[in-house]
Amino acid sequence: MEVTKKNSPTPTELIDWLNDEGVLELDWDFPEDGNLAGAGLDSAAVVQLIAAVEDRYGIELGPEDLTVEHLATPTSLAARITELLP
Amino acid sequence: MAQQSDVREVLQYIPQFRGKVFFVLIEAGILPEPAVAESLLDLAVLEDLGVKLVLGVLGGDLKDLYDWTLECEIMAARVSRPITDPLAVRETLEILARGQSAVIDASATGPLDLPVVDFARGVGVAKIITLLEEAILIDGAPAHAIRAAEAESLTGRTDASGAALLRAAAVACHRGVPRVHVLNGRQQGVLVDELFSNEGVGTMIHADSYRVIRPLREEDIPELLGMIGRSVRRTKLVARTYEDIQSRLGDFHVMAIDDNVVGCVALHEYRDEACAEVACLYVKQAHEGRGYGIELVRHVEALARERGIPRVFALSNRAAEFFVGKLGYAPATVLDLPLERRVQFEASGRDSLVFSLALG
Repeated sequence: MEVTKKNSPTPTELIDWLNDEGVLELDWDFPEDGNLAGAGLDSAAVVQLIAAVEDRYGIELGPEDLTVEHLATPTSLAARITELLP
Repeated sequence: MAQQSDVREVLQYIPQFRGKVFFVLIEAGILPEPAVAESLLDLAVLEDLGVKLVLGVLGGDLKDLYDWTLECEIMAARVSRPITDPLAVRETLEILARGQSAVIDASATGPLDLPVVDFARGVGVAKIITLLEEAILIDGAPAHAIRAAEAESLTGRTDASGAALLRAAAVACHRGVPRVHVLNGRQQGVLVDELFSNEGVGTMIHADSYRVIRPLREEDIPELLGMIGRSVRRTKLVARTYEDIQSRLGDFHVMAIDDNVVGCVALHEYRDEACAEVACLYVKQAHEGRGYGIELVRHVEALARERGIPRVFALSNRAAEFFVGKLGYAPATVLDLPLERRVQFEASGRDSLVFSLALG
């Protein structure tokens, strides 16, 4: 079942926002299931990404959220954020 | 391009750093360096992640550092007293308690002089990080992890200032600072590269780590679930929920190094059938190969023995060599399982092997 909540991001919104924040430089046609690690997600970018997501969505990612699988693609990241939103 | 393993490493450190105090000392001469500005921006991100910061400037003017923190959007307040004033500790703690970072004048001291160390201990910092003109080089290269006890033996393999820093860092560790990082402040990205990887890029001196096996506490459960979750696929461990673990909290034991959980094991008793299951054995990947798994199993075997349980068993689909070869368990069959467990096992459709050990 598709979960929709107030403020829950779509993968495309997430791509645009990551670009605007300067966390990652993603092409305008970066696919929703594209591999973020392959798009320049180095150590510094991962740390920035987590801080930015927590700030923007007012959530804290616990050890169980901080996995490579959840950060793999815009789609998986958007899904995890949505689950954590109140 | 980042390797998945690098990303995994970074992610594992983030929860460990939250709520900890990092004390960062910057040599005044390199403050205008672009690499230092980059490090300050990285510190601002760490602050966002919940790391508490105390920043000090070695030499020069405190105002320069304070201006930089404003520029980099670090939410800092100035400590009115210099680091050598014993009252500076309390003022710093008050600033941290307000959720701000503290900026302190360390102009009258060297990077790891005793007043600096005493201040760090008073504040309860997890790390002292020094960004200096030069890092400590051992045989010409940074050495990632040096135990405080072995620092003295390495002083002959560095220059005079390196030797002095090594000795001072070892003293800091002996006096209760867990870790001291000495970094080359001119190096781009040095802070993130040092803090978020097991190898690091600078020289780190650490106190002898404190490793212990202790009962699981309720606040460990999220960390434990994260560990299990990551390995359910890799090691075919059985998935568990918060409620599963909470309802049998007393069965679980964890190994912690400096209070970071690195492994777990559970002992589920079947009183009526005079046996117990050694279950949920897991050691974090970064800590494999050091015999921690054996220690964890031996720990719960000893508990079972104390409770007068004559036999333990384990189910695993991959660790035959471990249980039989290393721990002396005998291969067994489902008929050796307690009835309740046998029913559950058969319903699960898993193809685990059964191992059994009589406790003398």
